[in-house]
Amino acid sequence: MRWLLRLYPKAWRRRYGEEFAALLEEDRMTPAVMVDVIRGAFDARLRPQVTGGATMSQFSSRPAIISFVLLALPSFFLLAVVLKYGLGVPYLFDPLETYLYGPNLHSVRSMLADMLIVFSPVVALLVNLICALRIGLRIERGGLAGTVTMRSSFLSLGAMAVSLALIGVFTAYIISENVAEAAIRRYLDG
Amino acid sequence: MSAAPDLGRYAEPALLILVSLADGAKHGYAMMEDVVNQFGVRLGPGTLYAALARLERRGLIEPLPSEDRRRPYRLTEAGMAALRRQLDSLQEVAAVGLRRLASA
Repeated sequence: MRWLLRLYPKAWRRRYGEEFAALLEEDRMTPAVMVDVIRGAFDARLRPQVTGGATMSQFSSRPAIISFVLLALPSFFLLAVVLKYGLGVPYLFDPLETYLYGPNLHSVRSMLADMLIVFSPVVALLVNLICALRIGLRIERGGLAGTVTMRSSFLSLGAMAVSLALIGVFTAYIISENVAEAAIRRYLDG
Repeated sequence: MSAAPDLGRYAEPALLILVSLADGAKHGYAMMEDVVNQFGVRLGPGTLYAALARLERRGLIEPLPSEDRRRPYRLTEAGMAALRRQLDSLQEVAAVGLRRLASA
């Protein structure tokens, strides 16, 4: 059952791997034990307690770092749009022309950029939420009881706020664009 | 009431581990056996080590040199103090509960 150990992060394996493997050899391996070990591996990855032998801070900054990488492109895109079309500041390039409305409108590159810009904030938000939320379920006499708790670093909260703001802006843009387009079509038809 | 704050769903396993270590150092398997014998609770290996890692990070337990791949752990001074605080608190809760039940 050593393969189960590979589910744990490297730093964790360096610190606990040998003794954990010895424990798995001693314990009877049942489906419940296997599920428990897999859950432990998820926990060790999402809320790491050790890294390279040193103890970590109580809050992992990894989800926030991943989010800021994901949010870089949409933020840059939005900044360029605001500068160019909102404030009339000449920018290095025309973002809409380059990515969305250029001659290669339906090219793979353009569509990929489109998807990345729109969905990156959603992915960033989900990454932080999944790492921050703890859902506990237990069977009690006659029913199911559950708790949801949230633990998140300020960095992660900031990443979630930026993600939400970007999702809001893009949603408003998509809705207003469709409403305006429908109004123009009605006007032209009428 | 928790021995160490912010342990989330590992608060109960952590308390059982601290109680198990209260009479001396034990390695993982010995803790699991002790907990199941004393309290009828079977801690899975994943849960045990998730709780152990948190207790170690908070300085409530410390590892001893490995013995044949198995590493024993023991309570630190801070661990003993935290366990005593939590047990006192639980004792108070139990006393109030029992008193109220008796007068019901």
